[in-house]
Amino acid sequence: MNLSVELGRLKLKNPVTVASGTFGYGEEFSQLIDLNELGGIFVKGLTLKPKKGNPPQRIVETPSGMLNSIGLQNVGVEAFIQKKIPFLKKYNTAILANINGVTVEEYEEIAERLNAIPEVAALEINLSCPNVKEGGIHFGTNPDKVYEVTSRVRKKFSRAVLTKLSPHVTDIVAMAEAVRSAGADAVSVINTLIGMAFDIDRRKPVLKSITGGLSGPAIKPVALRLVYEIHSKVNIPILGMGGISTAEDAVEFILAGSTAISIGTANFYDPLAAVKILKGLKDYMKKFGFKNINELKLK
Amino acid sequence: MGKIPDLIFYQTLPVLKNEKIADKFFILSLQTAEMARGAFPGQFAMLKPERSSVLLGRPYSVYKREGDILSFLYKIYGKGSRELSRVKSGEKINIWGPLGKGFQETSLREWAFVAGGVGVAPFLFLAQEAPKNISMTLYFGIKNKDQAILQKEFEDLNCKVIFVTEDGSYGEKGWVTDAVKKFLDQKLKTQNSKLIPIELFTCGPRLMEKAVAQLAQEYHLRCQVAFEEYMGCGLGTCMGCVVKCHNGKEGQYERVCREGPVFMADHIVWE
Ligand SMILES: Cc1cc2nc3c(=O)[nH]c(=O)nc-3n(C[C@H](O)[C@H](O)[C@H](O)COP(=O)(O)OP(=O)(O)OC[C@H]3O[C@@H](n4cnc5c(N)ncnc54)[C@H](O)[C@@H]3O)c2cc1C
Ligand SMILES: Cc1cc2nc3c(=O)[nH]c(=O)nc-3n(C[C@H](O)[C@H](O)[C@H](O)COP(=O)(O)O)c2cc1C
Ligand code: FES
Repeated sequence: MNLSVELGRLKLKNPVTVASGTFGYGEEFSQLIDLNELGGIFVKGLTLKPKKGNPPQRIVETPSGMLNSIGLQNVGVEAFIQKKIPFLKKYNTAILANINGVTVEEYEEIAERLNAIPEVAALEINLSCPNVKEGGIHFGTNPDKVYEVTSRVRKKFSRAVLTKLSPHVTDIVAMAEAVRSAGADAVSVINTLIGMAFDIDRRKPVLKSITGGLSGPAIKPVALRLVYEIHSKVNIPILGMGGISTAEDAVEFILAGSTAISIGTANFYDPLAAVKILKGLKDYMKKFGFKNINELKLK
Repeated sequence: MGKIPDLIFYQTLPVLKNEKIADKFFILSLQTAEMARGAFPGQFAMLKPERSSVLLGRPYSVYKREGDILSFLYKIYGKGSRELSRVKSGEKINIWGPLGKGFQETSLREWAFVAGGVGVAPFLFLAQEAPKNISMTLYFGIKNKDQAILQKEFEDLNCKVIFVTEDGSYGEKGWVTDAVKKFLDQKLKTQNSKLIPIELFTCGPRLMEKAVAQLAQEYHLRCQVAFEEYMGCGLGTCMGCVVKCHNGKEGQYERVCREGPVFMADHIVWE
């Protein structure tokens, strides 16, 4: 059975990856699952300098999902290289760095720094974080900015580059087209949807930052539609995500046009989710006689 | 004690018992040799019924260990805990743990537990595991007589229990911190030194914990706080459960599920 997939220059031994911000830098999960099973690990969003993040309360459960406003708390790119890479590189899984900046120059600088670290197989440019005041989603909702950031990171990084899109746009095809023409290897679809929740006892928003990113099963139909639309209109490989919790969900994303998938929120409520989904995908292929995962995608 | 666990397990287990012990208070027990072996006081686990309409697991402190059996004491708050209370013996539950750093070691030989409501949970396990020569007192803030639970359980472990109600309808009257203060003042009168060799431990509502932390500062006592914050994963990966701590110039957000849930009171930035 062939499970290996290619997102442009990025070769993964299987299509199951874990989404940025839901798996830390792998250390905690290594206590529960064998990281060697994963196609790749998207680490927590990195910034040039360490970032403190937003004040709590940062998360809350909502119907079939959750809201988060972490504010990109992370160790910073230097500590990632010094302290986290040595751990991650012990495993036979792709190390994938999610990068964040306030300015285009910051994205470039992080890309340049990580280009020197051969263990980092790909960059995922996060142009869609809804929880920081600058950068993030402000770049991601403007196709010219998407093009600019992607092409400038592309020039600084010699291995694979993915750009992660926000669902908060009227024309997702224009965004994906901008990513493609900027020379990226793939698009990651989708980041969280912006939402909110109120505490009716305190009569205030639950989250200290008022709004947060909605993730989990609640967003799955929206994500599938966006993957499908890009797949139908733009010639670029897709890393699909948004609410995947079972192998059946993963199959849906592949059918919609994803070459590979990411498991996000499901890692929180079922720490074995990624491993179970990989096994379920294999069972599905066996059941329907597929020899190669790439045959599954609708043409 | 007081270190991140080496071994964390994820298991799907039949519930041994899930019993109501007072209005809204339940004790749930599970047989798990693996988790029971490694668990220490102050640690918690994430629980989620196998058939569940909520998404995230809910964190609960280990309340008791008897051989292979771990028990959790919980109170019904919202949807997740209500669902938990409806799980019958034999029905399955997903659990991952043990999680977090537990209580820290101390050389002090007199311990005072200051608990509010269901915050009492981690102290029974702590009392179970305490060395023989420790003198222990539980100051237990409750709403009313109906919540005057667990007296025998604590006394059987040689831990004195002092109930405190706000309206004085049961036990001492006032805030649980008033009772502790009274006790500390008495101690000061009977000794020459200004240093009282007592370790405080607290768990309960945020405001109560803050008041205990202030008391500890006022009386120069060591104080361990079992902190609670909304959790996503319990494992340290979502960064959702943070508390602001004194760390570096500007302070830093630390994860309650990983660096905690037990923190020294003077490490927390009480906001
Ligand atoms: C380390 C730790 C140990 C705990 N130990 C115990 C215990 O031994 N016994 C006990 O009764 N309770 C304990 N709690 C609190 C318990 O987790 C919450 O009462 C429970 O999650 C409420 O869930 P719910 O769905 O019933 O309520 P909800 O309707 O979801 O919310 C009710 C309240 O519970 C809080 N809450 C909800 N979900 C979570 C969550 N995932 N994590 C933290 N807080 C949450 C909310 O902020 C809210 O104030 C502990 C919490 C932590 C962080
Ligand atoms: C707590 C949390 C933190 C996240 N942090 C990041 C991040 O740092 N960078 C990023 O690109 N996406 C981040 N995301 C978005 C996820 O990677 C993913 O795109 C999104 O959650 C949708 O997938 P899901 O429904 O499977 O979780 C985060 C999501 C959650 C829930
Ligand atoms: S609950 Fe996810 S980091 Fe603590």
